[in-house]
Amino acid sequence: MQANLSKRINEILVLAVLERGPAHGYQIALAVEEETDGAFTFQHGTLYPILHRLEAEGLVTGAWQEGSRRRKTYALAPAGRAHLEAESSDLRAQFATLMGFLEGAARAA
Amino acid sequence: MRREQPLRRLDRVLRVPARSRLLLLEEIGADYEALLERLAARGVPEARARRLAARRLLPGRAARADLEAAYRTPLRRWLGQGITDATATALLVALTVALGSAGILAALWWPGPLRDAGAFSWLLAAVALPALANWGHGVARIVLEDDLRAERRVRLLGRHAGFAIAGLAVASLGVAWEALGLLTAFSASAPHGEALWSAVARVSTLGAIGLGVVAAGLLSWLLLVPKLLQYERTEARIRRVVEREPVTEVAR
Repeated sequence: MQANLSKRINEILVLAVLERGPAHGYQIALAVEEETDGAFTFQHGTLYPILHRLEAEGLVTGAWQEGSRRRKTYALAPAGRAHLEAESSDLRAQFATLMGFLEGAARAA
Repeated sequence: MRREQPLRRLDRVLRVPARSRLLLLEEIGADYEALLERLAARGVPEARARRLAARRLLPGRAARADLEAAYRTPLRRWLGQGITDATATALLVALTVALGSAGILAALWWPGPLRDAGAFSWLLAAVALPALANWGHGVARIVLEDDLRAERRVRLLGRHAGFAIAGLAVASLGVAWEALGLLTAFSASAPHGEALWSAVARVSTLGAIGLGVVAAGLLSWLLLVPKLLQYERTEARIRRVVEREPVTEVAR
């Protein structure tokens, strides 16, 4: 369950960054780290399996930019936007339940 | 630490099909350089920037395992986790050799000039079977991993050429031996028509088998050539990616 939750959070973080506009992988990693004050980080290249999985599932699209150095840019696909909305509300509900449970437990103690 | 060192290390340990390896290295290499530039622009010292960028972007063991799982070949995916690459390769080689052996044995036991060709045809079979195993090993790597790195390609082709030459040598020796026997028989007395025909058939059959072994070796090699050329081109591009000069001079 923990691995599944971690996977869902990582995916939602990536999709949320891409909701603002296309980005390179390193930009996504930096944005997540900086905007969560380091609470969430993608270390040791863990970002790439997530990006490639999301791309394979059609939630994001990857495009190569030609130039002196080829770079890959990711953008949110329509399916990804719908997935982000559904997952966000689902996670919000789960966390609200969790917080309610913890507060109840604290009061009982 | 130079930029290409971590990428080269990643290239060495990442076990995904050659084409996917190229794309991953291009993507990660470009991100790595861009992040270095970004950190350098923020005044982060170069050595620290490299450590930070490497820690964020270069796939560790877990990320590599995820990538390798995502980019498995169809056969590898079909085989699942239960069978290791080594086992699957061994099974494919064994299957190739079994099929080849069945064909060779059938040809050698079937009444006709092949069976009459004598010990040299068995020697040729002894050369053909390991050649078949070598070829099967190459094919297994290609269908299982869709990758055959340079050192493996060289070993595969080197052995393949060696077996072809050995086949030709054994056949030549056989032809010479049979021809010598024929000449000796001629010099002693005029041979009977049937004996003469039998000796000529043995010589010509051995020659034909020898040429056949070499032709089969060439054809089987030609079957692999398009894939091997594709790997060669992909690896040339990978070399350009990993050997690229660092572009973080701004950090100096």
